[in-house]
Amino acid sequence: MTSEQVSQLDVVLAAVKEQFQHTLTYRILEIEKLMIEIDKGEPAAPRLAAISDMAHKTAGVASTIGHVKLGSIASKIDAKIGRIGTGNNTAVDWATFRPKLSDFLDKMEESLDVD
Amino acid sequence: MKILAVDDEPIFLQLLQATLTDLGYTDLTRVTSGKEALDLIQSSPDSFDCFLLDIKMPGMNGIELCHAIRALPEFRRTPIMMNTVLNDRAAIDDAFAAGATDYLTKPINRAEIKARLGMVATLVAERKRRDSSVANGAATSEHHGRGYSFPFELLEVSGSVEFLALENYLLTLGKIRSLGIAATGIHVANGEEIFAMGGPDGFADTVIDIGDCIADTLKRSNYMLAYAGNSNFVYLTGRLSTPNMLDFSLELNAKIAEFETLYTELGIDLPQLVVGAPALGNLLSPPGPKQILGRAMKNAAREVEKHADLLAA
Repeated sequence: MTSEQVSQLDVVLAAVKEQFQHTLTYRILEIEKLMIEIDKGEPAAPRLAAISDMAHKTAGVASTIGHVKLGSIASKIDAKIGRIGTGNNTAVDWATFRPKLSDFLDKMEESLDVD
Repeated sequence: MKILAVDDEPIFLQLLQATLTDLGYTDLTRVTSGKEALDLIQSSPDSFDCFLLDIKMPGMNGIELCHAIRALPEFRRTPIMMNTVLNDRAAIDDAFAAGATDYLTKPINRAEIKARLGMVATLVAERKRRDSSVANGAATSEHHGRGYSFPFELLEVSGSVEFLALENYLLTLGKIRSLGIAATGIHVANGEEIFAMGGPDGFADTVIDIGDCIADTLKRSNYMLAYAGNSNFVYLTGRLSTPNMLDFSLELNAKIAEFETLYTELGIDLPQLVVGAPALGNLLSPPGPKQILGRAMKNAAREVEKHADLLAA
């Protein structure tokens, strides 16, 4: 790899990281809002699906740009919601799942602090 | 190589483009939905040499898109690599069953994507060379000039994938998950004679007939079948659901015997199909899950040796 290529890649990577930070901020706020709505008794399934989509997209990018732990926890959240989505006891699952989602939010916020 | 990448996360597409450009793949088109991709592909049939598809996308997902691309005659053989966060068995099985050639998991690993795309680029270059030979009359068909050892796809044969995809499927599953798989080899004992009599085109037709018979015999099982070249077929089934070797062999040879009149009229010998014992994954076996494919073919070759006198008669 030439030094010119390295610097081009660095430029793209820096731009992607900045964009990722903005997206992460939006997703944190959005997930918090959805969690509150579920707490209030709004239908959980569509909100969990929306959270799953955000976790899935976060997982795809986070590890590639160095946020390995965030990528890993995002993948687990995505998979876990997939399993809840197929169950019949969403209310019971939500009680046990909520703390994991809070951990995910913490990890997202930590990633904001890193860069 | 002209690549189309489909992912609903624009940031990921940017990262992918940066990585591919860095690896020398500069002709990349990016779209963010399956529908957009399909519209683009259908409007320009000569447009892409390779597809990189995310799986989990709103609307048409990557598996559905893979199916839709494979249904277009121009793209039946175009390499499709899935590129996804999902690494569960169901997603992997669905992707290869839909016609994926390879499966990469996110995050982007530069070395891995370089190796896997390198393999695809070689495949694309070989196909372009062959298509151009057919187009300019230097070859009479896509099989023209191909040697006996060449693996090729069993187009239209139910449950078939190209041999490269079969290898990639096992690599994607990894050593532990491959333990649940059995590979069975089938060798055409008189394949070289059939090749000599029928030439590459006649031999290819015979291989397709055999592929159809194998698929028909396996129709009650979940399986993946490929032709590996050198008169070797391999199919994968679940370890616990692999058919009994003897019953399978009898049924398969009965099915191919139905072609006897046709082959006699064509002046080609009826294929003699020899089935090997299933090869099973083993934690202590040599590294690389795709080793079971080689062992399956060796098992079939061993059966040919064992019954050489009978086959000669």
